[in-house]
Amino acid sequence: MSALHPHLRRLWRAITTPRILLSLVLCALLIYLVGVPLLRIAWATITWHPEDARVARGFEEGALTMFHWKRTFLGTVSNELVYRPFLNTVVTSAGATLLALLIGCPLAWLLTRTDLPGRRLLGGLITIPFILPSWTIALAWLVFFRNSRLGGAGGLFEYLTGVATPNWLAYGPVPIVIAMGLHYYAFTFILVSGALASVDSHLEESGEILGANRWKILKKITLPLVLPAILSAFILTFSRSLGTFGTPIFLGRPVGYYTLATTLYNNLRMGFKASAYILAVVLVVLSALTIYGNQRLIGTRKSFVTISGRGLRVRLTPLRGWRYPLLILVLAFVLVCVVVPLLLLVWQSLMLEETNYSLGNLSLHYWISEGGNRRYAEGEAGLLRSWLVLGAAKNSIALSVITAGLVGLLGLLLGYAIVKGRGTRLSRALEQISFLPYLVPSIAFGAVYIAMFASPLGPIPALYGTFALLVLVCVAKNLPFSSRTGVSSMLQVGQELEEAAVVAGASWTARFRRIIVPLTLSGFVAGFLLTFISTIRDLSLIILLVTPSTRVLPSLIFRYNEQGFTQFANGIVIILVALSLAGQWLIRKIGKKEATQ
Amino acid sequence: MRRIELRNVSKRFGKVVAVNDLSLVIEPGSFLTVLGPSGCGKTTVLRMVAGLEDPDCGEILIDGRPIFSHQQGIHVPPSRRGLGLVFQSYALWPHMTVFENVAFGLELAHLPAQEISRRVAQALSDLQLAGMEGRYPQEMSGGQQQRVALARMLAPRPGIFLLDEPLSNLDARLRMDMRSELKRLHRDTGATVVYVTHDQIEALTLSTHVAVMKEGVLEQLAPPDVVYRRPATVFVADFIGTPKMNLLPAAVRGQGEAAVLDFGAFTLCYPGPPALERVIVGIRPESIMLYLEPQQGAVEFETYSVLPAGAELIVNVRRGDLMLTIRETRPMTIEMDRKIWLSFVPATFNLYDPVTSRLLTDGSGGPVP
Amino acid sequence: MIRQAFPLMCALTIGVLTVALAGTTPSLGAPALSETQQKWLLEAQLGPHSPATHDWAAIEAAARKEGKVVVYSSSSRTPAAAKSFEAAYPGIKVEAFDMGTVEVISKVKEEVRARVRTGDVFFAGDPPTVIYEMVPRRMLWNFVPSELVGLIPKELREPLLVQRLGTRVIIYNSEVYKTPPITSWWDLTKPQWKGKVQIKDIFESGENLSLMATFVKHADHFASSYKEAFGKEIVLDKDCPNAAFQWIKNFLKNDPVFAGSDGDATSAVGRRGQKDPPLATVDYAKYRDVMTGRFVFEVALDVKPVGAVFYQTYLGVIDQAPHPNAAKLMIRWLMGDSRGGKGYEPWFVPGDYPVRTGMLEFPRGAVPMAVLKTKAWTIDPMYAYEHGARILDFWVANQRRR
Repeated sequence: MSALHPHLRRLWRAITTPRILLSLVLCALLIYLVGVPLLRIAWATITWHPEDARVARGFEEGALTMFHWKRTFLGTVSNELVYRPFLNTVVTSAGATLLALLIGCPLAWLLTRTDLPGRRLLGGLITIPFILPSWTIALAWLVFFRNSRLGGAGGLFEYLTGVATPNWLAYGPVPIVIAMGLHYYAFTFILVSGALASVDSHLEESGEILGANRWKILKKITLPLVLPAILSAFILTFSRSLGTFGTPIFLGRPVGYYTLATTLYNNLRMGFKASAYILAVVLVVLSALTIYGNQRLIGTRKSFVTISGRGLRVRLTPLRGWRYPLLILVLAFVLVCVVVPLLLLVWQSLMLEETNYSLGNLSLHYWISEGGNRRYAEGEAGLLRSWLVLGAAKNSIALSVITAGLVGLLGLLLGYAIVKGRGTRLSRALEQISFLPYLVPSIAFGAVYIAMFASPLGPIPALYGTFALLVLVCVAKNLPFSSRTGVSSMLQVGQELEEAAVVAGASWTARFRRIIVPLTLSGFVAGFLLTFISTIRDLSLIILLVTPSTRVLPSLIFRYNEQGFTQFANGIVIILVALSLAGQWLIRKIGKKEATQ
Repeated sequence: MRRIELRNVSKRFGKVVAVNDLSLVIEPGSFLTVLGPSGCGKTTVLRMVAGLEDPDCGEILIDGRPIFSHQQGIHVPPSRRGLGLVFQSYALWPHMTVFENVAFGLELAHLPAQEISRRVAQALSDLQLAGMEGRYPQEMSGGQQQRVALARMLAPRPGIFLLDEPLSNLDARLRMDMRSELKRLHRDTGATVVYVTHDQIEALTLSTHVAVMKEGVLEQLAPPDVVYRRPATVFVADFIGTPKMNLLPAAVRGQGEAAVLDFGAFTLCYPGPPALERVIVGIRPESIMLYLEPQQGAVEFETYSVLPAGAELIVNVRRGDLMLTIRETRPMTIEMDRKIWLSFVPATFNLYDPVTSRLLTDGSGGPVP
Repeated sequence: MIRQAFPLMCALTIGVLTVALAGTTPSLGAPALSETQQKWLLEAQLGPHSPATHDWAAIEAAARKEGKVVVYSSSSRTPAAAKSFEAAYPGIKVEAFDMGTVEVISKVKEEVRARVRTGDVFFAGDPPTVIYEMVPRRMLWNFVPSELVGLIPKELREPLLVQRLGTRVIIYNSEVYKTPPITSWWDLTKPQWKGKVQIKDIFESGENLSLMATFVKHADHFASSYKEAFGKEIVLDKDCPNAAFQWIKNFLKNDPVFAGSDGDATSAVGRRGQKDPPLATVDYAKYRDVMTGRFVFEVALDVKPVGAVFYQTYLGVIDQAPHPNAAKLMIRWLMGDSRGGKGYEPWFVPGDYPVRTGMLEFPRGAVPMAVLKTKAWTIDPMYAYEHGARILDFWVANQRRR
């Protein structure tokens, strides 16, 4: 036996260890799904494109150039192209995030640390906006507050009060901030109540024994303890809202108020690819800086909140006389930001003549008519008879279910590879790369994927226009969450449970199938659900990638809205919400059944 | 009856050396306890034998056949090493019934269904678990879970049992019961057992051999009574025994028969000490005699604390800066802060070199074999 | 072990990246015909293989075998034509996607580039992009039914068949204004109409971009009409090379409303019961909403310097379309006949002008082409292509964005 043999054998064994092999495969996959697209988009900003013939002459396609960067940042249009949208993005995102915190934090405190009646039910109601499309409120806002600037008569507000809605209230930053804030507060609420629930009352009681009053305890003990969570919630919400497309386009366009996301969209649509890609890069950098800052600032302080799970005692602050007034306030809030918007959309979809609010105008025309009457929506058939809507619904369901399944599985595999390799560089690398998509705002992700898959790459065919591309982008974007849930559910499966199976002689696949998967099923279902919810309602991520045949419900809503067929658009929102709720109910039911078996 | 041999095995995790150049032979049919504080590498030894961890260098042999060799690039997978393993946490699969847990390994070995049920039934009845086949682990008590884990290990009939702190999660009474069961099991099966624990009582009561480890290095490998009476190093002396052995630094004055150990607070005659100026003297608490009245040759001390514990009495005494612990098994009542008199038996002393920490002599004055 | 695996991983990464970066941007500039393209052209009898006369029975038979045709269209009226097509040719399913010009163009470009073959028929406007980007790069193939060749002027069937001429006009609410409230495009820059002109942002509308390019081409007329409107010679700002640019600048300063679509703009103007309705620049063809009684507005055709601007809406077969025969059948269907015809019916309305000569009937309420011609310009694709980007930049720079 030559001296080389043992070396090779050892190396072979190292590489073929299931964990290492899996990690390497996953690493390659992640690099392909995230790393390469990011590099390609950066590359695309410094090369010439055929479309550039309209802005420049005498260049060679594919050759290197700084033209686009100069045009974007130093040219005559740079103010409108990047600086103002940048400012608008920061303003609306920060505003929405602040609003979300102002609503989310008190709600989180009320629902986790006080004796407010019906907390559990309220907790469910309050998080509903999280499962609705983020632009639901934007569309409902238009139904209510639109003024004559957009298509003739004003909205319900004008009809009821007779006062013309001022522009600042109808369109632009104010409604954008409100609409986004009313969506993202649910996100903040979830993050902060998680932290609040894990603050041991003993800590507060120690303060009380030392003579601090309730306000002082809240200020000096509770708040500092959850402050890292609040800061974190701020950053995460902020970076999420950076790439939001739906709300700013619906509410901003009528007054020419554009954010980075909507400017990016416009540029790409008009064929100014390089500018669009540069904006995507700007978004990525902005978001990455924010999150990096977050980690630098509070990464170390996070350890404050100890989630031991044991010996945790939560004492509820009595609200006394405030119990019922506050309950009514919370209920009213739920009514305003969940029930009312949906009702407005239902109502509007039943209005035969747009903006005629009399009861006699109500009709099921836009839902069930066979079409043919040119007076209404160019004679298109009603939603429930439309092949476009049917196809989009099918696509939406297929997309979210397939994505959720793949993401769930990938999450488990990632969780496995990361947890089993804890402490190794490979595991760290895997964890970090799987977090990367979080840094890329949704709309930028879409742009990145256009750059990546517009043309064939090596053996991989161009995926533009295919359903697979939508699945791919949704899978990649949801990876950070799924790898998190994968890691946490994998951490709950003790290493020894698997090792016992190793000793018993189970191969890796047998272990995964018979030990790991059954034990992490509840985590898988939770991850599946989360991905399902976020995929079925997503617009920002897919808007740049859908084609007519791969249309999904949100893209159809956008299209109908753009066309001015608002009854159709609003009706589809209702269909979408119904589908999403039905899907969640079904998944939970199946998940429960599987788990008990 | 299987023989296990470790040759120059080392293992590091990052910068931490878990096992350092360990060589060890475990004779067939013996019950070896690997003892040491947490983090000493004892569990790593077990996991390397099991094949769950690969050493960075060295060889492991079973019955003379290498199952792991870094030099030759050999690695026999755990399931083909013919051993059974019980984890500290038992690692019972919560989604499987008792039957399924025990049958799992047999199924994977493609045994016929009849044989599987026969063996599972046998293993369960051996461990007084008959009738619990359909239960899930969560529905059982800690002791029962522990038995299921043992049954799962026994069912494939391995020649080597590897036990990783199997009793640490049980309450004191159950632990006593399980100890005797384990001893019985060892005798009945004749298997070679490697048992990892940090509990010295388990080590002393169960094993035929005890291996004491510290920071990845083997400190002593000997039968339990030798380990107790003649700890090979200061570390072992300090680690074994409750209450702990008194370890007192002393200066050696004089030579031969006239030599004296000077503890600072008092001195003792000690015939034939080693040719060192300073030593560390180890004195077991039970080898010091305690008197309530002055005695010939006894040294006067003052009681500091008195801790009665039923069958015995632990007395901490002091003289000047010097503190000593004494174990007294005669029933008596002693107040705190009173004078008492102690007499020592130099023949029971263990003398250690303060530089190398190794045992120098036994009490008879001769060198340790 | 990990340490050993790491260099391997790095090597892998570098390999992937090299492929990624090296494989970028396939050239689109007037490519030579690829083999698959040639094969497709031969089978589809298009391009160099076009026959002198079309055997419609054979085409129809082949189309039935294809069973389906996918139309990418910018007109919201296409679904109606699709319906009549399906009725006329049962067994051939139509997927007509109504997407807006910009969308149609970018989708076709991306699909051709990605070599994804889904669309069959291209049906949209934006002359500069179509004629100077898409046709030369062989993303679209011309198909003129042989019986129409003699009936359509050459410039309207080469290099790509024009289905109709659309018309960009200014509309006003005729319930409030009995006569046109404006006489000149310059009126739109007056304070009276501040915040009250609806137009689709040219950043999102190729038609409007071409409209502006046409204005720039005829900048002299804008200079003279300025004098008519304000009674004095125009003084150009430093950044405005000519009167048309000055008009764009002043217009943008007057806070126009950027409508989401022409439909939105039309509805803003034409809704009944308004007190202070705005104006809008839209397609004349929206006049059909007046015919159905949905809206009430009129077209201001007698404004200076131009009453209307014609623009071309093209029909073409998308490169390597999966259903070329069905596409041909659909193109013939959409061209209609000398009385309009079922396929052309949705466009047989005032404001849309068929390209064939010798029409026997005209839509009710339409201004005859002969009359309109005297008040109108036509988009010059070449000029719009060359100046489009400059105008767009100027537009964006002067847009009063918030």
